[in-house]
Amino acid sequence: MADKISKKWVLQFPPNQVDKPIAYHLVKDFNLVINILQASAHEEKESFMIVEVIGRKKDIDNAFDFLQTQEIEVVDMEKGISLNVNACIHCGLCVGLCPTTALTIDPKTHEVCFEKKDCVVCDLCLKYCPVAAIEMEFLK
Amino acid sequence: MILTYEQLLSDVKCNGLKSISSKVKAVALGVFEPLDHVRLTMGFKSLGLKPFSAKIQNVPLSVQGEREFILTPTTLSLDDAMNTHFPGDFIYGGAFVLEDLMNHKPLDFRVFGYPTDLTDRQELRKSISVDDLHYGLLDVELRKDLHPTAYVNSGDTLKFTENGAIKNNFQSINFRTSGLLQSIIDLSNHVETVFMAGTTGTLSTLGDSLVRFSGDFLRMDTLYASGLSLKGYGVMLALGLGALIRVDGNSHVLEQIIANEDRLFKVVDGVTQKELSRIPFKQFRDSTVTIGEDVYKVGSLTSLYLAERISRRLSGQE
Repeated sequence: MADKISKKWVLQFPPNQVDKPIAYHLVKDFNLVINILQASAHEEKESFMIVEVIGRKKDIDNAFDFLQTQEIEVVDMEKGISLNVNACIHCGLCVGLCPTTALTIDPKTHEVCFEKKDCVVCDLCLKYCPVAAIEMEFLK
Repeated sequence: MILTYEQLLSDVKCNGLKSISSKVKAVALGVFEPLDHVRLTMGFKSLGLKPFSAKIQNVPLSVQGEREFILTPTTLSLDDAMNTHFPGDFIYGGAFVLEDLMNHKPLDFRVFGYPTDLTDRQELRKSISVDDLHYGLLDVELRKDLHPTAYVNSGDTLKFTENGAIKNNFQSINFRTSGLLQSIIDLSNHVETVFMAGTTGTLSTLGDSLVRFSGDFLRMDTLYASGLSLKGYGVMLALGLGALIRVDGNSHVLEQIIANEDRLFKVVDGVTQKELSRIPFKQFRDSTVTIGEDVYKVGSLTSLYLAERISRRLSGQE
C-alpha cells in the first residue's frame, strides 16, 4: 500500500456516455480501488459521479487518460469545492453535521477550517449552511 | 487595562484574581449569534402617500404612523414556493432584506395607501435602497433570565430547529450562544459602551426581565450582521453585539464574569424534550462533548470567531 495514492475525481458524463461501464474499467483495466461517493445519472442531461480512486500513481494517470478518451470530463474534486471565506460567519453548524473531519473549528482562532482531502461530498454542509458558504461547482 | 474575556481568564489562572483586579479597568465582551425579538423601525424621507400596508421584496412590513414601517427579521416572503413543502428552504425573509439594505442594494418596495384624504386608494411601487431612509432604528430585546440550552436528536431523521439542523441518533449536539452575553445582562449597571453590528448603540432595561439594545441601523456593517437561512425552520438575523464592562478594581464584578465560564448548559433531547445532562459551557468550545460514554460532535449557530473580533475591537486591538 505504501506506493499507492488516493485521488477524488468528479466525472462529468455527456448524456450519450451514461450507459458506459466506467467503474468496471477503472477496476479491471487499471487495478484501481474505487469508492463511489455520489452519483447522479440522467439520460437527457449531463450526469456526474464523484469517486475516490486508490492505486499506483502510474495506474491513476493511465485511468485519467482513458477517461479523457471516453469524452468524460475529469475534475479534481478539491478544485471544485470550496469554503467561501467572505460569506462564512464561522458559526460552526457545519462542523456538527460533517461526518468526517473535513470541517473543524480551529481551537485557537475559532475559525471554521475546511480540509478538502477529508471531504466525502455528503453535501450536508451545502444543504444546511445558513449563509450558503460551501460552494460545489459540480453540483450547481 | 482592557482585556477580552479570554485574556482575562488566562490572566486570572496565571496571576490570581487579587493580582489582576487592581490593574484591570474593563472587560470587553462580544457575542455574534442569531437573535429573536429583533425589529427595524424605519422612516422614509418622502413617500407621497399615507400607507396602510406595505411589502419590501415581497416581505410584509407593518405600518406605523404616516411614513414609518416595522420589519422583523423572521418575517418570510409571501407566497414563496421554496417554503411550501416540508422542509422548506426559507432562503429569503426579513433578515435578508436587512442585509440587502446594509449592502445598499436596490429593493422592490410596494406600498398601498391614500395620496390625500380626497383621492382613491393607490399602490406605489418603486425601487428603494437604504439611502431613501430618513432613519432606521434596530432594536434587540433579550430576556435577562435566559438559560442556555443545547439540543441532541434521538430520532431517526435530521431535526430542524432554531439551533440549525441536528443530526439524528445522537450524532451531534447543537447550541446557540457564545455564553458571554449573560455577563453583560447581569452587569448592565456597569455598561458604558454598547456595540451593535459595527456602530454604537444604547442599552436599556425593560422591567425586571428584559433588556433592549438599540442602534442606528443606517450605520451598521454586514461584517457583524448576517441573514441566516435555516432549512426546515425559517429565517433569522445573526447580529454582533458587544459591551465594555467597567471593572476598575472591583473584584466582585470579576468574580461574576469568571463564574460565567462555569455556567452549565442544559442538554435536552429535541425529540422527547427530556433533559439529559448539564454540561459546563467551556466544553462546547471543543469540537466534541462527552456525556457519560457518548461523544457528540458540536454544531453551533454562534460565532465565537466574530464575537472575539468584537471584543478585540472594543478593547482597541483592532
